[in-house]
Amino acid sequence: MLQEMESRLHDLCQPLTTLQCRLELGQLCGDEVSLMEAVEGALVETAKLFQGIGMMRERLVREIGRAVGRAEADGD
Amino acid sequence: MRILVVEDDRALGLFLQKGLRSEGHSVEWVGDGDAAVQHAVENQPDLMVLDLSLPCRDGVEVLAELQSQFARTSVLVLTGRSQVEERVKCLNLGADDCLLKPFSLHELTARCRAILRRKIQFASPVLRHGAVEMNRMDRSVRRDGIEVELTGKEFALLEFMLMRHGDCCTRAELLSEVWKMSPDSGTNVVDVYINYLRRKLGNAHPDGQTSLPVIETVRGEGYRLCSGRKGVASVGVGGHVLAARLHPNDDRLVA
Repeated sequence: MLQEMESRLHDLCQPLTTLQCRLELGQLCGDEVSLMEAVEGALVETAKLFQGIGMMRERLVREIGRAVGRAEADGD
Repeated sequence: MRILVVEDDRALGLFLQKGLRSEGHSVEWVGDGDAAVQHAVENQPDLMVLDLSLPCRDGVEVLAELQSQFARTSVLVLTGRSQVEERVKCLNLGADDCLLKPFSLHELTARCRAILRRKIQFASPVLRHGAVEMNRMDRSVRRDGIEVELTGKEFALLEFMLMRHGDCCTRAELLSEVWKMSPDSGTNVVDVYINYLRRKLGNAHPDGQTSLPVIETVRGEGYRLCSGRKGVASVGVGGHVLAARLHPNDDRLVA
């Protein structure tokens, strides 16, 4: 599970870097068009981040459920 | 400086290209390992910004290939994996620095500047041919010691010609390398900018009146730099090299 989390974290780095660079570049250019493009691009990258985080959360919830099940079985 | 960005994520690659261009560098972007090696063979960039996860040939393989063939190209590795071993491996293979994703564009450009600063401690940033001297770090140009102000495109054109050390540069080459345009585009932009350069470099001559040419026309081919100093120059005409004196006021051959 830890290896899978490491891999999913790695997958998050790509859209996060694009998001960061996109916003910084928009700020550097400073004009209205660049800022609008940066915001629009940032929203696309944020959607990818949401998706990645959603998958990680789902995996964690499943793992926690299994751990709770095991603990209850041990208690019985 | 000439930088190659190797990143398979198109959006990120293009943003890195744009960000580094805003720093005044000439930047190309490719999306896979094979294209990176091919570009390095053909263009020998000063710096390669190299992502490790690439299609065709991964970043480590590209690095190994570069190390064996082109030690002149500095490499900044981008990686999304946090393992120390991977970064150590890259540094041992010849990378100059590693940057962990996610990173800030400001940090990337600062690291590129640092690498290029270190690079020029070992390789002079000054290009010289005859009377013309260019400093690529402070982006200054002098003719016979007198500073000449050039636009970005004029600077890039002169830089390309200086790197040829007086060899002929064809119009097609100049269009493709300096303007990134197809040789078949039918534009006369090269001739126009050559004239701008001639005028600016000619005006800088210290005696203020008669300035020897620094750019010669190679008939039917393109242009080349000449010494810009009194004496004999060798000029290529139709593939042959002739020895000739230069007319003091322009680049016509007088003998």
